[in-house]
Amino acid sequence: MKPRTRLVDFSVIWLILAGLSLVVLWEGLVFTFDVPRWKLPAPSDIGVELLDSRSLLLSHTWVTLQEILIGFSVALSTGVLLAVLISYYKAVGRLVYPIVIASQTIPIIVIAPLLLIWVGYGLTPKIIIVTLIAFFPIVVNTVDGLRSVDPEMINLMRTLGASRWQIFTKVQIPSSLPFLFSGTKVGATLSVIGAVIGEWVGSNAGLGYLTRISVPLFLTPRSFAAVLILSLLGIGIFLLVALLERMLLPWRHRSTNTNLDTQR
Amino acid sequence: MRAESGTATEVLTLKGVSKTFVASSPLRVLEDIDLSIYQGEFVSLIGPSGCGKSTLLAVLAGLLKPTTGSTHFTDHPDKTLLGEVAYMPQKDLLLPWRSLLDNTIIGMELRGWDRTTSRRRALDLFPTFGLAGFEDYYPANVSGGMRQRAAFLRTLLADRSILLLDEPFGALDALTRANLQVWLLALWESLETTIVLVTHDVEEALLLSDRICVMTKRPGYIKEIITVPWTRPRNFSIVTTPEFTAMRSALLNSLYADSPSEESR
Repeated sequence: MKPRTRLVDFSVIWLILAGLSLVVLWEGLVFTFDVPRWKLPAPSDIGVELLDSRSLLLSHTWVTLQEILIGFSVALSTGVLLAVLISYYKAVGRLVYPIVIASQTIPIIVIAPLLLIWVGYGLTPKIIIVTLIAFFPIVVNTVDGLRSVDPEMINLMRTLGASRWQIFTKVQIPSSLPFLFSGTKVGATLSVIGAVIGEWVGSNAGLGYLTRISVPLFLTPRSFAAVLILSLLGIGIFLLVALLERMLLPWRHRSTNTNLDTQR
Repeated sequence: MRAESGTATEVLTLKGVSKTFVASSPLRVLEDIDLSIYQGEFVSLIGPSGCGKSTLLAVLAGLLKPTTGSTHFTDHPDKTLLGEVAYMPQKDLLLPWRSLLDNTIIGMELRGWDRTTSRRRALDLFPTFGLAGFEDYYPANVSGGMRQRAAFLRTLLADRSILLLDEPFGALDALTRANLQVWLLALWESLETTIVLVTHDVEEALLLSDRICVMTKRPGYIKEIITVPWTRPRNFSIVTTPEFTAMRSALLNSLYADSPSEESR
């Protein structure tokens, strides 16, 4: 256990060091070459902007966060439900799964303006885009997970008298959870991108909107500040999912702590 | 001696069983197998790899339907075998997200037993299986030998009178394996169950079995059934007797008669 913890601490320290040196390098370069702020703001300029425009940034953050959270929740619930139906009912799998895959070959950037025509400006089109972009990795990973069970395991359960439903709930669902979490982590980060795409195509609020209108006005530090917050939102959601995974799947993490191969 | 064929009750009957797998070309795996399994006996199926002994066990478990012939309970020819005969594959197949204790109770859980009762019943057997103190461990955190014993306890707690074991010690190192053989010998002699064991280990078969069915290479059929003479309870010391050595070489000869150069030990 001890060496493992130390390893984690080291990697965090390295991460902070790397981040800090990047910031210092950036600041130094901007200062040395006297780059104008509207071209490339120094980290300090972005910091100042974060403080000065905090209420503006906060209100736009709230809009984007809503889009992300609602869209992501819809993606997660429909994604899991769809994955369950696809793997439990063969007919659904054959019909729906190809459609799910085909839907991803249509560029989201083409669907986004159409949504404006269909459902208008507001929150709804953004939520739809977030959902469309985030649910795919969740469905694909969960379907793979549900199908990944060792056939010998299923045979063993059958000899123990298990029904198909029992095999599904007691074996397939638990063994798909690590896959579900992988898909959810990818979906979570994609949902931030989805919200920004939605806002770029047509909106009057949100961090994506803010970056878009700030650049033509040469308010570059503001667009950088908005991008920073977006990135932090993505990292935050990712870490939240990772934390949830650690809590819900303890057997995935305890395995390396003890090794009793010599003990009997 | 427990089950002397002729005096004991026949529980499982195989008549003219053959199995052909149809892939790109049909593959005949089992050929015309007749076998009677008696109440409370320990039967081994031994043969070179690829002789279809695991397929035969899957047929006995009800997982595969024979292409021709039939496999059935002697008393209830119409009763399905699947779910009525306990089966233990070579891999332990413990569920990684369940503790050892909760892995062993799965058979009772599937039949809707109360969890507390099931756990209590399993806990009582943990010391016998050398698992005391490891009830709450995940399978990944215990040794291969322990996992195999937990898998065996799970099989036993399925409450079937017939157990099918498919090379249960095949994946273990020699020392662990010898320990488990001796342990199984003692355990089984205290039980009432009938065991059919698939193995490719001649000593394992001689040590544990009442009868040994020698199978040929594909298509597998039973070319000889050997009755093992030692009385019960047995212990490991029989391995060093001259009779054991003689039977061992006779069995090896019978096993590898068709392919003397290959796999001879």
